[in-house]
Amino acid sequence: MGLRKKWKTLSNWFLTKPNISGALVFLLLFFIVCFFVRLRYKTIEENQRREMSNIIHSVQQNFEQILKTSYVTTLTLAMTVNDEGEPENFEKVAAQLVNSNASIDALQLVPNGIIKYVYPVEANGAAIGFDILNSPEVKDEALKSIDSKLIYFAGPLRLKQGGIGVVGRLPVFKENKFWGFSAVIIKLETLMKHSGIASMDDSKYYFQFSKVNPTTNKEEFFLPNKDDFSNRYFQTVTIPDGDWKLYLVMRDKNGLVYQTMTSGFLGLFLSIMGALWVVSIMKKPAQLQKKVYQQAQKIHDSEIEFRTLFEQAPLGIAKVDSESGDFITVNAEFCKIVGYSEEELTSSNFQRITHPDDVGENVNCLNKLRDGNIYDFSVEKRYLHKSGRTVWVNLIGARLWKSDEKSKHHIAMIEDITDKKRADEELKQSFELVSDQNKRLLNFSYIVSHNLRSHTSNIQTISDFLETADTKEERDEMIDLLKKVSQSLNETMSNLNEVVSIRTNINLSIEKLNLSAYVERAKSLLSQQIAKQDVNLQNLVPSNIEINYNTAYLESILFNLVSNAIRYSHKDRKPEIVITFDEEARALTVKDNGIGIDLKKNGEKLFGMYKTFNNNPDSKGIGLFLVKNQIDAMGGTITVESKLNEGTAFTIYFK
Amino acid sequence: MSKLICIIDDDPIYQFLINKIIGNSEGNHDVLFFNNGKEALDYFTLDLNKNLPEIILLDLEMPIMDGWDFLKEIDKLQIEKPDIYIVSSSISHEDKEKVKAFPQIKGHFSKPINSNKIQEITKK
Repeated sequence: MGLRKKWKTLSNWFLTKPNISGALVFLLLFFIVCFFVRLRYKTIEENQRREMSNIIHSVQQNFEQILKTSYVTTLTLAMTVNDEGEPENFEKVAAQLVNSNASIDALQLVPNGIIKYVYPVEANGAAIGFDILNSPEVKDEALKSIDSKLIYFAGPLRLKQGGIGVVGRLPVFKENKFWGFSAVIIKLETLMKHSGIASMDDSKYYFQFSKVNPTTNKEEFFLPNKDDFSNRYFQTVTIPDGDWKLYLVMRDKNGLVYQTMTSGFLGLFLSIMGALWVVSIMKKPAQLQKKVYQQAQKIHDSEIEFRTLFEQAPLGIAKVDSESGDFITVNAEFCKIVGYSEEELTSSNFQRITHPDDVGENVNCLNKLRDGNIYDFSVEKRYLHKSGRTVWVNLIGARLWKSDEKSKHHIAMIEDITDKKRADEELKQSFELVSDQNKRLLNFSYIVSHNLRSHTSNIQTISDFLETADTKEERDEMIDLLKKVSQSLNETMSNLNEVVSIRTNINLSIEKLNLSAYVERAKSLLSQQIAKQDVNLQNLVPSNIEINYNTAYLESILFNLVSNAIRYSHKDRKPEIVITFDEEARALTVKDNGIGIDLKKNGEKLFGMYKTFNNNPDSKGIGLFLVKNQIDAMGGTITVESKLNEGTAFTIYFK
Repeated sequence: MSKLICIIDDDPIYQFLINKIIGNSEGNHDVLFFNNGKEALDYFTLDLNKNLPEIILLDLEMPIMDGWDFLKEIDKLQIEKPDIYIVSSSISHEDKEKVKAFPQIKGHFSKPINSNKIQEITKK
């Protein structure tokens, strides 16, 4: 397990570092290439050496063959010397020997070191008479052969007869006494030709032929190409019969290197290619690996961003199962807005904490989202806070699946707008209040101007008549009229005054009043009318009901409602008035069986000033107007239900 | 040049005074009084063949049936339409706009009304 893990780490390390891996591959390949190149170098070198050795040895053999032939020839020639020390048939034997041995150019017999017999004479005659043993240049070599009593090859040296050649001298002894030399002369060209040196392909190697000069003790070279070859590869053999050295020199100093260099370069090139190939192959996974890492990092980063947003957003955010409505995750703000803990929410669904009236719309939106009709939605809805209060929120829902995927989850973002809603509501209410007051004010000013004007115009007309009145009767009549006008003007003024006082009374004294007792009080104030019209008035208000109200207003309201009920009684039946109280709604109802009001026609005008709906001379159109104003001033409302010829019911809702 | 003038107004003092003004003005006019629109309408619908007024002086603010409702109702009747004049203690701007919807209204006056105006109306 550990090993596998280590291997994985190691391979991972290499996989992620293609350049280093490439370099390593390059080194490995290059090492292998070097090894093979070296192997090849060695092989070539070995082959070359073997080849050179073969060549040099074959040449050596040729040399030895020539020398052997020379030996035999000199020996044969020496045989011609008879006991008197005179050669017999020299010419004949020499000719035979030279002709049968192509490697021999000439023959000499040198009695006592002086050249005496030569063949062929034409080419070599110039040497006759040359005293070898007394010539300092050749003396040493001649003496060497006498000492060793063996054939010794002198030279190559400049021949007396011209050209360069070697001279093989065999010392001849007669009765243990030095007689002279039997010698062969081999020209250098002949030697080269017969040894095979001349005919050799010298493109690769060349021969050199040397001897240590016995006088100067310096090695002398005799073949062309005398350049110093000590730094080149060569092989050498020694030919002792002439103290010669034969060299086979490699012509091309760096040939071997060049030969292997090509394969070396090829190997290097292949190694580089191999390394690059490895790098390019490995870079792909490495790039992919890197990309994967970057993506993972990105995902990680965005996860953190999302987390932070989710946790820190001033919005309530929840991930919700779009099918069941279950909460999957909720943030702290969401919990705060609805008052439940995260655990409570995630084990519940949104329907459970949504105001029952708003569940339907929310579910509708969700259905549309699921059906793909919409991608997101925004609704204002109410949640039920854990404490029971209602929380208004602005909810934005957005799906979390793609178009081609199955619906799964959506995200819900909520903003608490309860305060805003309340402010809106208050604003709306105060706007309604203000516009209502404005309407009433306009109405009131209209009433004032209309009612006052109707009186003043009458006064004007009357005064016109008074001016033009001829008789006292006429004048009296007008003054009488004027009194009536003045009286009704006074009445109007006091009505208006009453209305104004209701409207301007802001700090009304409010007391705890027993409602039933005040009903009784109105009943007693109107006892005369009740008795006269035989009204059956039932006070069904429980005696314990108490309300906070202004005394004068309650009196006025009850008086007006009851007196209206009596005034508009139906002439065909006994008037019946029932006064009840609904404790739950805190509402007082005054119901009669009178003539009723056509609410369709007059509903709007019912509580208006100077609105009367019949010819009853007692109708002044002020009573209900005052009642409405007084109830408004106390913060309550009044409603009416009525059917013509059946009856009317006024209901006052106390605050 | 006698004409039948119809007064529709709930103010008894005004009724008394206008009656006197018409009596003092030129021409021997007859006057009909109604306290509100409904009374007048009832009178007209009772017998369509009787003498119908040529001129109506109509107040706007009245109980039971006001001037506007009366205008709507009389429009429905199959009678020769009298000339109608609005005579009101005050005519608001709103009322003036409303008046335009009723082509049978020949003019409108603010109270008080005098004999000159009566003559002006009756001479037409």
